[in-house]
Amino acid sequence: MELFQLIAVGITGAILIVTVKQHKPEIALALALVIGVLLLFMASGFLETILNTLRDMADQAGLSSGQWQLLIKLLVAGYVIEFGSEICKDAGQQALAAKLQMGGRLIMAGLALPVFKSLLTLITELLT
Amino acid sequence: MKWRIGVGLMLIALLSASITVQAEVDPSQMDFNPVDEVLEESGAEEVMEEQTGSRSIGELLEDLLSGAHTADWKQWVRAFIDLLGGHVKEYVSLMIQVVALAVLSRFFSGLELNFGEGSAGSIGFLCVYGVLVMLLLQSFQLAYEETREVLGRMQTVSLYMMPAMAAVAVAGGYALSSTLQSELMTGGFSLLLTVMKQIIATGILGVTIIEIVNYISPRAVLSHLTSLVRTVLEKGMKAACGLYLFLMGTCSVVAPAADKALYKASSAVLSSVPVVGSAMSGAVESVMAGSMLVKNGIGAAGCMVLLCLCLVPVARLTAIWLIYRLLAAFLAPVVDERVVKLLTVLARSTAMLLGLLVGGVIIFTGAVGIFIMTTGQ
Repeated sequence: MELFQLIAVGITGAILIVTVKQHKPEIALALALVIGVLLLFMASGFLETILNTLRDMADQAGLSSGQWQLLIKLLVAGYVIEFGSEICKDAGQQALAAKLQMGGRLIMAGLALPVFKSLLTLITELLT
Repeated sequence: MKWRIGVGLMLIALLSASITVQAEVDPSQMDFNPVDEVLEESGAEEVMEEQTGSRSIGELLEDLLSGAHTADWKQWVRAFIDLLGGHVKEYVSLMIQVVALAVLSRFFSGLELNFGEGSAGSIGFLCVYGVLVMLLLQSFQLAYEETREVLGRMQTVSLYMMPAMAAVAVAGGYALSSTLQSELMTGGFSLLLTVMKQIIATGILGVTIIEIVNYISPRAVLSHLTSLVRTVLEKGMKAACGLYLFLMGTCSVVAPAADKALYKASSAVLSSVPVVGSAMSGAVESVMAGSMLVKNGIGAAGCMVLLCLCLVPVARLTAIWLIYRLLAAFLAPVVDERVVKLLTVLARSTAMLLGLLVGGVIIFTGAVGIFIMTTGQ
């Protein structure tokens, strides 16, 4: 049922945006943003279920919760950055979208730095 | 007639030194304490007690010489399977962690697929890949260090057992064969193990790390280099082992014939001594037979010690290899190809480490077998 609701909202939103864009392009952009956020919210329930299941598996297996939380942050950040970038592209702002992506990747790289540092330390210990 | 008696007395005088040594071959007086210490510190003492019923080399040797011990290969196979099952269960938590991370990585590679390679998903994927590598490298590191430790212990065992065999063979009248072969057998095997430990094992670790880094990028530009290094390591290892066994075999071609000729000549001289000649000849023969028994017993004990030393590590490495292969097979339809390649690389490297351990035992057994065959069975 949720799948059909998602499809219905997506198609209805696309039709609305195309109709409004002819008369008010700026409102069409805002509408695209709202419908995009709505679709994400509708899908987020399933994503939460999947991530909770994976987290439970990881907890049972003894994976570090700090590492797991970092990876979830990166996943959410990745989706948010791509979402924002696509909105910019929809508005015809390719350059802005590229800059947003670059900024997002830098932030994600900064978040992931401790993992790369630990990996480098482990490899150095192994080789020496 | 007089000159014959003179030659005979001279030969008896020359042989009397070796006859004296032959009479003193007593396994209970041989010092195998360092080998017992190696067994104790590695925990293989318990394995030896379970499989052979003996707690020390001395006890094992006595059982072998008296015929009290008979090798039951089904028992060894059963023990290996039990150990394998136990080790696989130990690594279940690792499997679950890898599955969870691999599935998470799929989300990031999904972002890459949907939004192009330069998307934010690539950073996220690299981060998950890094965590996966750290997790899997910890288990691989255990396998690597254990392999090096066991190769070192095999070296210690061989440095005591092989010279002991050679000394008994000399006492048994195979002076030339034993002298020619003992240096090659002991020194050559020790050198082979050093090469395995210092060069081959380190090479395997190095190529594994390069391949892990290589598969971060979908283009994998270092594949040819890593393939070359692996081929060199594998072929080099096979060539070194083959060369060692070839040299052992070649060394054993001429010397036994010379030893036999000397034995026949001395036997003929002893038999020609009036009154006591045949008794002396018979006594020498039985002492030599006893020496052969002790020598073969030491060889068999050495092979069993190596089997005991290697049983647990081989089971552990086999379990680790099996887990990597199972994960790769199970996750292949679901996750990014790079994760599957990571698991395949680690499986291949673990198999190579396993090959070093098994190869070491086989080469030792082969060398001991050649030595026993050529110094009287």
